[in-house]
Amino acid sequence: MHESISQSSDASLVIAVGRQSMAALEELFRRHGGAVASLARRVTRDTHRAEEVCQAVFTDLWRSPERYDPERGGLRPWLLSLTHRRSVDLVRSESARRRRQEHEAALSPMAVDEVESVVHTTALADEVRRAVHRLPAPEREPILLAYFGDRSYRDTAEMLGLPEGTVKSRIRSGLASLRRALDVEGVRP
Amino acid sequence: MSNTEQQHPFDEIAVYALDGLEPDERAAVEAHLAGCLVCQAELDGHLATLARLTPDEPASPAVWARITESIAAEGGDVPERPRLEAVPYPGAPRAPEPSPRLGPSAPGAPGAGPRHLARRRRPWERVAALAAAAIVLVAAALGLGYVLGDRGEQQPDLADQADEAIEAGDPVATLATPDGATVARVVVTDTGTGYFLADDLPTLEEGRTYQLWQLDGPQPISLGTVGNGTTPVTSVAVPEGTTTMAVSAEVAGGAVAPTPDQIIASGEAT
Repeated sequence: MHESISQSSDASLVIAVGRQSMAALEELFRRHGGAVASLARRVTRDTHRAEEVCQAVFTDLWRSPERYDPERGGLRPWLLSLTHRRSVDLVRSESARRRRQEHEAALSPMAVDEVESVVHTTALADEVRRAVHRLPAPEREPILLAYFGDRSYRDTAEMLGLPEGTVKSRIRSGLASLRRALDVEGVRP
Repeated sequence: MSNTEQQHPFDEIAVYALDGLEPDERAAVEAHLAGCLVCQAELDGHLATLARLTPDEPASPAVWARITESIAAEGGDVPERPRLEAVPYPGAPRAPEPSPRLGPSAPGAPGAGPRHLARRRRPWERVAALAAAAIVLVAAALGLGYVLGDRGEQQPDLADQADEAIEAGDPVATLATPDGATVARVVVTDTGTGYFLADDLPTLEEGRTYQLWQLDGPQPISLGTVGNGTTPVTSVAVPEGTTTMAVSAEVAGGAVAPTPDQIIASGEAT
């Protein structure tokens, strides 16, 4: 039976979660809980808050498994999108005073370097790091600031001294470049 | 800008994938996404790309313990079930022996459940737990493409057991189609075990399965998948108090709720 549940697909396990199966939720947590915690920690830069996010993501999955549509993609990308959203919202909901302080700090040119540093120092796989740095800087920086630095595109435009429309289009082209770079580096989907 | 780009806000979709939009813009994109399959596919592609950036790491047993506590605190109805087998977290030491998942175990140990999950349950909860356990078994079996009862030789005594229950006078629900044709029966025993008899169900095409539902509450409750019509008798767990049931045809693996136009037959236990 151990083999059975461990070999069930994510989609089958989500269906079982819909039938109140804690065993299925536990298996899904075993498969994806580490990645969820990893992303939450990188965005919140706080272990305790990252655990809160991880707990909330899997509690939400327990409450509303029907929100996952397997026809739209794998479970992990969906869980990680929930994780990123919650992490960003958590960081952005902090006090206005702290937000102002962060904003002032964010406008310094060092902020981009700090985010680059996050990518360098956190547990990115070597091939992922190489893929990220295959991107030209004009595409890499907006993606890093938004995804790992929890910056809105408006903040990013201000930091980089670029028009907002330019930042948006660079994020889009950067994501396409990133997908190709990950393919080149052999990072599995 | 092409006509396609004018029609679909691809730049905004990309920023949305990074959670980089302002709240009002986020709401506008979500409204568009709700009705645009093209942009849904664009977004899903971005999310798949971004997921590749995040490394895997062992899941934390301590966080799992908090999740189970949170779920129990919210609803208080977390179904207990026999642990299939202790599943070690990656990197966690394997327990010397499999232990009951929700039974006494060291706090923080893999699979350790909070103490209040092991509270004494009301009778209906015990039956619900049996149902949940049966569903888990079916769901787990699906991973191997095997549904309990699909092979008669694996459960040779089920038909005899069902006959004995009928002879003993246990309630039987006769499931009939809207035009009155009896296609299946469910024998309900006082132990919570039931038997689904596919008397005259048509065989479903590959990739589909019949699913049994309890209809006594505000929402249908799945009693499990019961094969594709070729299995004469399937064992199911039937919660105490179940009287009204229905069987629907669903995609293999079952559905969270019965597909309205796929309900084949229904009936009450008498």
